[in-house]
Amino acid sequence: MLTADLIRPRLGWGRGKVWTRPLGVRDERTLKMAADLTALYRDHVGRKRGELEEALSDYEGESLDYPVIRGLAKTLSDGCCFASQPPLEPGALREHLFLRAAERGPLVAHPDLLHRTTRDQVIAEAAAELDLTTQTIEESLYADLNEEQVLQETPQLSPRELIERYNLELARGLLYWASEMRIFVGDGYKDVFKFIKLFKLMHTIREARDAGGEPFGFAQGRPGRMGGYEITLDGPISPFVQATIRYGRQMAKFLPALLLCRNWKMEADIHIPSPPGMRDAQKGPLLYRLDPRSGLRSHYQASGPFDSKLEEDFAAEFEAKYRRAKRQWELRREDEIIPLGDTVMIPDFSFTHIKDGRRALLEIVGFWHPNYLKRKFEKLRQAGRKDLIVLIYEGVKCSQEDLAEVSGEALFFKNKPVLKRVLEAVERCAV
Amino acid sequence: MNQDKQCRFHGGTLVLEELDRAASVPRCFQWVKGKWRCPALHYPEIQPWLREQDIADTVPRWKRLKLASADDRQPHDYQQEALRAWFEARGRGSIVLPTGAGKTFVALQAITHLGRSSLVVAPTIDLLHQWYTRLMDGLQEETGQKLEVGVWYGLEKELRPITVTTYHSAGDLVAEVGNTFKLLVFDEVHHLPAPAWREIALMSPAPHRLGLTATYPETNPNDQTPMSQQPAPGWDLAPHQRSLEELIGPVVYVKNIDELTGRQLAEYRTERIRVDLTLKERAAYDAEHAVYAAYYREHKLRESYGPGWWGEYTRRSAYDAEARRAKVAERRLKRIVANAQGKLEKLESLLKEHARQRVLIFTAHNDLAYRISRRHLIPAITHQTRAAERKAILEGFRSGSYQAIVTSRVLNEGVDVPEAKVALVLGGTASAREYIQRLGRILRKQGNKTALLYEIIVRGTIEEGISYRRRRKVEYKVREDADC
Repeated sequence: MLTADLIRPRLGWGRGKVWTRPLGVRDERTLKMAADLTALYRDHVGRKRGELEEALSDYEGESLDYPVIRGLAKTLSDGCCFASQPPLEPGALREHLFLRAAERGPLVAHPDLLHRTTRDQVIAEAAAELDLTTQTIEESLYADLNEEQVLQETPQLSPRELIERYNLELARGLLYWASEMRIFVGDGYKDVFKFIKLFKLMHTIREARDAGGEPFGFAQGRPGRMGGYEITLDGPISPFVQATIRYGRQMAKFLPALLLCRNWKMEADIHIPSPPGMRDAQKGPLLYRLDPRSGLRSHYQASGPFDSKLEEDFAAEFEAKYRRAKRQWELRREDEIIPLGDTVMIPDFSFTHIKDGRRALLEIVGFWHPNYLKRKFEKLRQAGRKDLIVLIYEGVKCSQEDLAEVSGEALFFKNKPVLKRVLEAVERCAV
Repeated sequence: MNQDKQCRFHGGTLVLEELDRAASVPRCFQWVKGKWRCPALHYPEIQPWLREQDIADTVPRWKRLKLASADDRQPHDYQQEALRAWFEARGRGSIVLPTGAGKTFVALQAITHLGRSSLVVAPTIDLLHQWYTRLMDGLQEETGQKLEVGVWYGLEKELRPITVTTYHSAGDLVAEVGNTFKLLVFDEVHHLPAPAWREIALMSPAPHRLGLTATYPETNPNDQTPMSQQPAPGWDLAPHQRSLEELIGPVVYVKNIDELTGRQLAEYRTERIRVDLTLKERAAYDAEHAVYAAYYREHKLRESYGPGWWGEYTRRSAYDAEARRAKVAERRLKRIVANAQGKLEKLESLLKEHARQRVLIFTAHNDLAYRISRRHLIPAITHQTRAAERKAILEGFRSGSYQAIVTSRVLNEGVDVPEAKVALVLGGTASAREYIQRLGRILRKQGNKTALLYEIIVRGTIEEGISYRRRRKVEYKVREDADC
């Protein structure tokens, strides 16, 4: 992660807004720097971190581009693996050697009558005793220091990829100082919530309606449920304190997950701390905005369209059987979120009537661990939605009691669901 | 289905499960994102209510510890009074004692008597290390077994029933596992009101809290001495209205400085030794210095900006090629001075001269500290040294197993090394605080022996100016103290 001194020089602000100044992925000078640095790192595989840092300092020289050079280098370093495997545990060796040296009085470079022992003598004695060469002793002595660690592996990034990654790190760097993040998403809900949960963020969700009166004003497409969602992200203590940046790091981690969506926007309240010894430059938060045009690339992996073969088969069969004129309902994957207090439920499929727009939701329950089922039924109960249909495998162990409080319809099936019956249920439940 | 009402700890808050919006709850709770929630700080207040309502309380995860003191020292009367006052206030509140009056010892006693998992929060990593040592040495299991103490900061993260952390790391720790500690000890508690730090106290359910300081904030809780680290994140935000009293409890005990005599400090003597650069070093230094000095002279920075010229010069070096060149030259010349061969030669002769005394060597940078360590085979302590090794080195120094140790300014704040008779300063910043602390360290509780501080500076370099500024600040400080 980039440090504050590497982020600050790449920021611009004014009129209550703040932005980063990303590097151009086609700018030749920048590409050359990125290429030089990746090559420099590659050349230092097998060498000490201290040497690498020396080389970076030489490369930087008197260049005014030093914030960029250091930022690119930091981005590379964060992906590197450094390690050392000294033949002796350095801490134990130090203790052994230093205690022995202390017994001999101050060790000197220029021996005299009173001070006869040189450090080389002590090293030589220890080497003889431990049956090692003096060189091994010298090398092991501080092998655990950062600068003595050996570069094992560098990230495999092309110059362009390095610049893209740097630009992402810059954006994330700004988010370290975020007190609240508001996002709009129009797809990819499952991944979004997977990462919200993973990074222990808390959310408030509401449907994005028309483009008119909403504070965001960027809901696109059809109004209502299909318009996407606005989600506010913060953390547990946020409501009880004035803007805390305690969760900024988690928001920064979350950002690449947001980039996995196709249709998204983000704004965050940023509180840039003043540099040490400087007076506060800003009063109140600055607004930081991003959208797909910002050109940021995610390095997270999007999950596939389906979680299970059951779901995939269901969708395939539906598409095959109900074509063209026969189609009354449009099947969509995970396009609606049901908020449940501090969590959400995202049903597997939705059916939307092609003519009148009525909708029903479908959740498929396959073979799962009992605890998972317990949570699932608890969620279904909480959802309390009459337009939610549950398809349950007969192999699944659940009792009528489990289903008693589920307000929608439950259908059981043996091997695969009978589509006709499902559509009958959709017809009954859709609103 | 079995839907039990429950109160649980989550991210520094208390959450009521299975209580809906219509439920009547204590006033500290807010309806947030579909749940009743309040800062964990309120835990002791709501406990009776939880019992009354038969709400399962899964908050406390702290442990009972059977501790005994491993410290033979007899507490001073004022230490016992302070402890009594704190327990009478149901184990909440701050104790104000002057520096050097044994605040740590009071905390150790509090932890021992309470016998529950405790978290100590220290302002700096240096002080964290000192607490670690004091806790390891001062506490033991009732059975006489050694007690392992945990440390939690950037370099090392190991959680134990008794753990030491820093203000910087405590927030995340408390948000995650705040309910595993029944007592929080805040060292230098006057730092706590800063917005980001205050959240530590807010997010903990610990019913017992002990604040320690020599300088309790008088009126304005936001007017504090800056910490050595970066300003607290969120420092610039408007203060949230929660005073130290709310977060920790009232001041339960105060002892002023004049009530304790300053006898503990010994006499000391400072000797400044000038060494020369080698011819080669001098040539390199002069070349770099010419570039550096030419810049601020040609641009009349001192004349135009007065004392703020340095800030202006640094600001310019971010976009002006000439200023940047000067900055790089300045960095190089400082390196030449810091690593001057003459210092190492002088160091060797001083080590010979004081071969029978404990010597503490200070350097401005890690690399010189490690060079000296390798050259004389003496232990080094830097910010890369882990808690256990650091403790072992200082113990070895105290017991006399080591005659000398070298350190790069990490022993800065009030770290006890009472056995040092001689301190050698090989460089450092002009910061007065650092200088005073270095002095104070070797002088602490010295009996009647005179301690010695050598400052080795390179003749005809910027170091002479730094040393001068450093001393001038000290005199200033002493005068200020005399005025009080």
